[in-house]
Amino acid sequence: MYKDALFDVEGVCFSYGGSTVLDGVTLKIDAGNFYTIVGPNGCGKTTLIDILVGNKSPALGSVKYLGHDINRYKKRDLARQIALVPQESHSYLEFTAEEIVIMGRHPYIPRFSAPSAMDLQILDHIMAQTGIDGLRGRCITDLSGGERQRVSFVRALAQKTPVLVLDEATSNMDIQYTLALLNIVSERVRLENGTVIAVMHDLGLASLYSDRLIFMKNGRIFSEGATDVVLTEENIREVFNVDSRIYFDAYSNSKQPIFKGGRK
Amino acid sequence: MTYLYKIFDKRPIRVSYFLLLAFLLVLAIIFSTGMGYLNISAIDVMKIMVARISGDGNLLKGVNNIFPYVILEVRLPRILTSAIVGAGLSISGVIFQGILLNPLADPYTLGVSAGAAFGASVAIILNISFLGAYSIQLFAFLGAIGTLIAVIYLSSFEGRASSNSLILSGVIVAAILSAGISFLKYVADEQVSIIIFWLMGSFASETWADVSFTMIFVLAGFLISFFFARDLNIISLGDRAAHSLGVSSDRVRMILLVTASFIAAVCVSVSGIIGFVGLVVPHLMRFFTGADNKVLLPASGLAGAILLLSADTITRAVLPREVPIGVITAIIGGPLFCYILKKRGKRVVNV
Repeated sequence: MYKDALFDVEGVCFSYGGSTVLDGVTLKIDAGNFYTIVGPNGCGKTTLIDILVGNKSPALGSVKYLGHDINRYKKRDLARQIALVPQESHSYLEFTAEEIVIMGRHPYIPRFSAPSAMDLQILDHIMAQTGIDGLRGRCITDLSGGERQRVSFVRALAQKTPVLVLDEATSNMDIQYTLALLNIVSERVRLENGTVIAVMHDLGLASLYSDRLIFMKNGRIFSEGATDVVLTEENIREVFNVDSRIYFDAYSNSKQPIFKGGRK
Repeated sequence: MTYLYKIFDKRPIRVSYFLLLAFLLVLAIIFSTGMGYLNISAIDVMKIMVARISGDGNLLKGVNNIFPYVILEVRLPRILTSAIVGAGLSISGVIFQGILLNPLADPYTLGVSAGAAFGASVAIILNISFLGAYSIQLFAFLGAIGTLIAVIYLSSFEGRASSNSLILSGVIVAAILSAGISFLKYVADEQVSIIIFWLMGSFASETWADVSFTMIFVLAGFLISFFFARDLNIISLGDRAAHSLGVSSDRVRMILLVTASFIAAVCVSVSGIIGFVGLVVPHLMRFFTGADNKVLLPASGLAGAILLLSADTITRAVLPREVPIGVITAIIGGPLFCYILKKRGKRVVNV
């Protein structure tokens, strides 16, 4: 087992055109934890994720995965290590849900081979476990946004990687499937020493699942630590510029932030 | 109980699709070869073909001795070229719809046809003939490739070319070239009818050289695209998802873009601009095979070959007077596409 951090991010900077998006991000990600990155729109969360998975290269700084620079891995090898559920889950061609999910096995299937018996077994199991069996033969272009997002999520699960990166991966799902899928994911974290790095906007949901929270603001890490330690009214005010109250909720066994709305 | 109704159970069905299509293609070749001014029976056609391939002259006993010449030197080159061009345009259409993520894309979306037409017009107007009959083809091919280079240059930023910028660049370059073609037609005197005739496409006067030339390019193009068929599937998930599955979409997209454009360029330079085949056939075949490009590419190739060969046979041997093939494909393909569009309107339009 590798002893050091799983990801070692060192002084990463990135900019689009002239505007700086990441401004010196340094971060360690340890295996066996559920991390959630929170922060306002445009603070660089998605860019940080793209750099973590090797989709973008930092202008300055380095990202190491298991001690080696992330860009030195072969793409196929990396695809067996890290799966990503992107924000957008479109498909323009009329693939069935089943065909999309089996694409998650792509890194394991030799170029001219059909899926192996094991690939099909994983497909079967994962579709039953996540409750998208009913969508199996349906065309992805006919599904609703939430259903499409579930299929996209399950495709990443079928990839069976030790690291799963979720970029607002449940944003269009109803609460039933959000909980169901995140439960599966956090079970992998607990039982299989898996690692999840998620971007979420719902702080309550983040607190339900995350071992550690990463607050980002203006392309920097504002605060990082155990969820119960860093989920504070001050941090929320500093990062999001809103007032909140934070209570410990016994039913969910988590700290929950409460906000004031417009109701009289 | 596990049920894998699509991936497992559909495989025999898919194989039978291919066998059926291949059978239909052979049938279409044999029957259309027999059709024409001289009607030759299918038996005689097969005898002549087998005799040619095996070199066994005894088979030709009892066959009118002008038939072998008519079939081998006049009809077959034209028939095979039309089948290969039909296959090429359809394969190119599948690739373009896959990489541009646009169901309305076809082999001509990036202006390859306009470039070829411009090149051909220039050759016709300047009476360039250093390569004999092939001068127009060469200029058409160069025009198409020149256009492709211009479009890729215009739409690429830092080695990436987005689907939208490719389509826009194609539209703009094609518009400029169309203006150029209009101007050439305007200044042309008696050659204007040659230009117009070329633009509408024709398989008349194809030779065995045309057959081999198109065959090499279309076959190579098919093999390259088939090699990347699964990557093409995965690209449709979007760049970020594709990357996380180990597919570099920029690289695959560029390779396939060039491949599909070369196929289209060769087809256009041999036969002129034949519309709708590359647009309609991929849609038609998706009905039967689904979206998987591994199946769709060969199926569309076979179906495109059958359809264009049939259309060419209609104009050559059925109609009282030869009508440009581009007109036939538009008359058949246009309404067919309207039907497909309407039937799946929601899906196609919402993309």
